[in-house]
Amino acid sequence: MDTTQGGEKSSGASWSDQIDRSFGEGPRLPEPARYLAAGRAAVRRRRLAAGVASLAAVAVLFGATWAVLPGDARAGAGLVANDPSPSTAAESPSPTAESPSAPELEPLVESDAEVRIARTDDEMVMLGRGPAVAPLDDGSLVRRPGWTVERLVVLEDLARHKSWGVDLSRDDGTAEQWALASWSSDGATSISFDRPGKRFAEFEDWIRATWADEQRFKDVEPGQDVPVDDSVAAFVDGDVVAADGVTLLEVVMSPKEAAAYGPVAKQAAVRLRLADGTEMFGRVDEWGTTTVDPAVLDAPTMAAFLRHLASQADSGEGLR
Amino acid sequence: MRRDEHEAAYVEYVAARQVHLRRIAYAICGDWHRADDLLQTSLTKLYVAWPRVCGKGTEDAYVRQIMVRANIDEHRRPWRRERVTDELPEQAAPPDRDVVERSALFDALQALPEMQRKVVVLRHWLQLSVAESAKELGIAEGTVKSHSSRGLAALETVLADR
Repeated sequence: MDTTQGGEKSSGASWSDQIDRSFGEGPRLPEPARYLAAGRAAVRRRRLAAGVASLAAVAVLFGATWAVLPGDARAGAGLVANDPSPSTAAESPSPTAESPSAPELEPLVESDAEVRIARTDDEMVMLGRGPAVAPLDDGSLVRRPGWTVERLVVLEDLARHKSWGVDLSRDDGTAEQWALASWSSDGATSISFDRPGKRFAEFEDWIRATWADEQRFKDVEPGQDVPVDDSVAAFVDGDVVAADGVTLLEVVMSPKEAAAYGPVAKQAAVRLRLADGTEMFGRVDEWGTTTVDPAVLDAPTMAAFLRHLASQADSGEGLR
Repeated sequence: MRRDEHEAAYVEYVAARQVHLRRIAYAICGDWHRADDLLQTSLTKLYVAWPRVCGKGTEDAYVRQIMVRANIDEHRRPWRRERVTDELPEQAAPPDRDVVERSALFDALQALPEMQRKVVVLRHWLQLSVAESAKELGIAEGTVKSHSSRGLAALETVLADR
């Protein structure tokens, strides 16, 4: 018999029995080892996504304790103010900090044989001068004729969602391309691609940063603000503030070379040292820091970085 | 506990609970293939969290909450930064050969709005309390009650018509 209790209509435990009998049986379940393998891969991907660009985040994931400046209670939890002077650089991992494992990349295949050459019918999914690789509706990857897959990294491998990082080169040696491709069984596919040298000199660094961006943006609805990435450095009350373990070495506020990227007054160019000692340059704005590997600059100097900012803006490519 | 001990405990848990957990996923999403994806997603996240969750008796609740949240994520997922193909309509999964025909009640359950369906599953199949359901779904207890009443009323209509 139905009852109404506290505004909730209920008919007791009989619903549980009826629903329980309503299911039928599903297909055979896989062995638990499959879930174990997927879990191990997820842990590896976490290390990968959190790699060089966000060592502070890695520290959180691995439960490591990083040294912070005592008494710092300013706005911007997780951020530590740095004096650009190297003499005050104290934000290195404590001696007890657990060093994150070296990021691992898993080659999915030894050769590009599993990424077949696109047929004429596939050309519709390959934009004219766009990506050299694309996912098809069936979850496979095709590459543009004349391109070779140098490296293929599986980032996500579910029955209905797959993501790959792909390093490709043109057979005539005139171009190289990095791509992050995703496929969903509902028909949605996506691909982000870049040429080397905009931000990173190494494919591994690019795929880490691009994958991390994907994870950061994937729950953002159209029209919503993109969450601030404070894993390296960010603006707090008008100052550039570095994340735990990151040291600011040089700061140029309001660089005119960054005018094409947004209001100059809300930007800064920085040179910084990550917790592992790696030095990077970065463009800081209200959404966080876009890091640039010094290896893509003509010299490891702030002046060269500012020239790079301007030239990337002039080319229309930007940094991302 | 060492890693191999953690993993042994994880495998033991999965072996014991995966049938039940997949039924929850199926009740939430109404499609065995999506249920398999949801289960894999949830058990993968459980593995990552296993050192924190293992042995506390909250494993099922942890997975259940991941499932509810992951399913919501599933609906958000189609947004992409760059898209090179046109969005295709949802493709129906091929029929399952091994599936015993499910009942009109289950079809009616799947026809409920998503949150009503989840409330009915949590409250009236898994028999969680109003407070527990509200916590897992991240909604107010009053909302749980109203979804519950409307959902059951819809199911009763289906059963009355049989």
